[in-house]
Amino acid sequence: MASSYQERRLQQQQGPETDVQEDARDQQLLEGLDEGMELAPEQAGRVAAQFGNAALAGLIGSQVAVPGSSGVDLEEEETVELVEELGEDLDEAHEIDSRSHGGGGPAAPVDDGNDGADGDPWDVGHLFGGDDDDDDPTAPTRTGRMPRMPRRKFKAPTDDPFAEGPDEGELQAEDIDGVDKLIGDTQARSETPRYGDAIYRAVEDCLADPRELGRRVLEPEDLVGRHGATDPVSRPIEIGRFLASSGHRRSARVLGRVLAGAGGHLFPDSGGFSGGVARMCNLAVCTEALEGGGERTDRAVAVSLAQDTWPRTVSMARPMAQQGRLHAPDVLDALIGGRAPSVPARQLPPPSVLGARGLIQLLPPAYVPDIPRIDLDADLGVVSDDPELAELDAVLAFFATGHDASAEAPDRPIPQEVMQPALHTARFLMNAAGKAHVEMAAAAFAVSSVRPGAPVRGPLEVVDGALARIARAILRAGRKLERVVGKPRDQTDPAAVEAMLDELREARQRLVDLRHWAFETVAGALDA
Amino acid sequence: MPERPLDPLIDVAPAEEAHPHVVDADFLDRVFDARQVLSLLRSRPLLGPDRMAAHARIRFVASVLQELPDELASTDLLALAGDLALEAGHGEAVDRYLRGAENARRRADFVRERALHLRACRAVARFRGPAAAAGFFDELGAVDDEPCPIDYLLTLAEMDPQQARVHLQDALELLVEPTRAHTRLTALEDLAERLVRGSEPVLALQHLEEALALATEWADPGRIGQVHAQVAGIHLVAGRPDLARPPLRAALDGALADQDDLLVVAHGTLLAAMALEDGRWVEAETCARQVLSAAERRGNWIGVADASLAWSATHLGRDQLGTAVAILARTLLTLRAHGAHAAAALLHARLSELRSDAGSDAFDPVLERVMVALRGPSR
Repeated sequence: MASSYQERRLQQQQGPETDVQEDARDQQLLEGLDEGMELAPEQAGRVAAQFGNAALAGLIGSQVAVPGSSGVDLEEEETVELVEELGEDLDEAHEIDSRSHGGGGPAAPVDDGNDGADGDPWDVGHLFGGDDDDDDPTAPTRTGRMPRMPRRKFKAPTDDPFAEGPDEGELQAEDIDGVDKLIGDTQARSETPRYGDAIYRAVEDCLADPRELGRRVLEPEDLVGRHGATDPVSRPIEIGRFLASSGHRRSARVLGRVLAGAGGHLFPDSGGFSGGVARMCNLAVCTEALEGGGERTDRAVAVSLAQDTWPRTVSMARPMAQQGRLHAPDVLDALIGGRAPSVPARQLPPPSVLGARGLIQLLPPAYVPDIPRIDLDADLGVVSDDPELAELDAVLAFFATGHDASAEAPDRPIPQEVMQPALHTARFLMNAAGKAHVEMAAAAFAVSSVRPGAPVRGPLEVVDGALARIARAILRAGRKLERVVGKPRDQTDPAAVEAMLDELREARQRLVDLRHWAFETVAGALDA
Repeated sequence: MPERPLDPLIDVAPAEEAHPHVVDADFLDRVFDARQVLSLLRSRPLLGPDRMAAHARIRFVASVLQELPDELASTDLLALAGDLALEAGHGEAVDRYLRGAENARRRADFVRERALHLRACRAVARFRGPAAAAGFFDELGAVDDEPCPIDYLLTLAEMDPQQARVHLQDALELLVEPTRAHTRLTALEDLAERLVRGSEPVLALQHLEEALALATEWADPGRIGQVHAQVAGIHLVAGRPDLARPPLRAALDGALADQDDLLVVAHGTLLAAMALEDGRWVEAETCARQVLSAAERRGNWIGVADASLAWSATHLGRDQLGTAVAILARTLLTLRAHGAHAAAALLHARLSELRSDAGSDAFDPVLERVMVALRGPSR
């Protein structure tokens, strides 16, 4: 039986010639795998580039039937999983998938924004009889959608209490200018040598413009709903929150917690809004100073505030994942808009623990699944130790359910559901490895945004190679486990299955260790 | 194999009068003194005056050990040096514990070796996270009839944050020896921190009370201040500034006595804010001026700006606009002179707020007069 993977390949061969050649190479490579071939490193790299949404995961998936997978392309499922994990919305993922491959049936009509005039016989417009109703503004279009109705324009009531009007509390230009005239305006900071606690500058990014730092009247609402790394209230709070959870020193954690949680008490009326901001920023500096570590700590704090790196990296990585070309260094290059600075593998920066914690905070929580234990006899019901009782149970079961005890024969085949937890975990693990590319690229991008020119590409290159090796190990173990399905029970050594699971466990541990190392090393580039 | 980097606390040179291979009265005196000091180190917890003196004592014993090596003494010395570093949050703790364990192994003292390995593992977990120490911890493993139950439980608490509370409580039941009072105090603080994270501030406060009593018993102002700050933090976050004030005041007094400028800025800033909120202008002014001096010494320009904002607010509260503006303007010019423009922007914003509040007709002449006074009539 031709696998869905092969069917899809045949469909894709109708594409451009270059794609055909490339696909043929991949096909050859993957067919080789089917025959038990070991992967050469460059081949593994090629395969690894596609895991998460492509052939490698599909290969495991195609051999691992999943409940509810009948008639559904497994590669498609992998794509959906990865895309969902990367924050893709479901509609968009569906659109991508239904465009590329259909899962055994004719492609469903896709509303891609065209009017459907390409002669598609399934188009709703044809079924409704063509242009007869063209004059009827309420008739459905040929794509089956209701036509766009003229939108009624609502005039906003002038006395709407929720309407956003001009912010009356904001300092006016005349207030600032009036002071400027007498004391001169506040200049942008020139680079002067810093010493003492002035080296803790992470908080200063929100102190550039005096207009943002004051309010004509301090109202409680001024402190609500503030967010963003450049907001003068939320930035120090974020610094406090980060050090409260990740700081090494207890005193830093304690003050960080106060900073993150006691905002209201830091804004007495008599000090005005600017007084409260100054207090919070001062406490942010003190928290960093209590943590110690000088500029290293400050850069780690700054990197923990680079909150937009994950969504930006995901949007950059998405098309690469869809093309099966997901490599952390390439994603980083695309984000930076050029080749990121690198160092040889033997000159990688020393690790930064706090920086790594800052990076991890920027990313969504990671899930690297644990490898389950497999009981090869899990398909058998509980059998009494007493042979007579066991026999009686078997007879009763036969009469009550038609269950045939011969199905429990020693040479019965191992059913799919017994191996399913392990195979499913292998798929999750593969996805976690794919996602690690994006995580590492996001981490490196965050570091680059704090310290442009930091040598972040080197660690990513190492990660890229290591992930390829891990993927190869997962693939190997997954395929071995898959072969166990359907084998006679009496010919399957539980110890051998356990050894396969151990291989998966080892790959999992390597992935966990690699992530740990990579975050610390990428963060180390902050100080390199 | 690369040589181990020297530890400034342990790898010290022998005394100047030391002469290799010569046993004289001075040598014997030094050995005798070292034995006394080592016995003191072994018998006292690292709290209060003993904590302050520990560095000097360890260095003295270490210098004598250069002349007369003794692995048992070295092991204990390294354990104590590791404890000091661990409580100060310094990474050298791991290296010191591992060196101590190495010494213990050479003496075939496997209980001490295990204790120090467990402490090293705990230090790794504390500084780099449980994941980094997982392999090490697995290697150490659990043994029947654990010879070092306290160290094991404390390490377990660090390795398994979800169960840390239980492990710490178990460890506290065993931590009764006065020589390990510093470990008990740290465990109490750790437990309180876990409880706060678990939204159980009342229980946390109970443990901090005990910690405070312990720190007071051993006369350790630094640790007393630390516990006070924790208590104040819990009350502040819970929205009870009235309860936070006394411990914060005590923490500030401790910091002032220790001349710890950083803590003076941190505690004084919070206290000044509370005093401003309640309209206690004199107290607020005192705090603000203490913070201002300390922040200036620390080079914390944002702290300087904050303190002068608080100070000026106390004058505004007493209807002294001119003085308030003068404080702000003068600090602003000082900060600009230091190139601290971010901090200066805060003062600029405050002056603009005041102008907006008072109106240009009332405000501009005041600022003008102040600027003339500050810059001199020629400007």
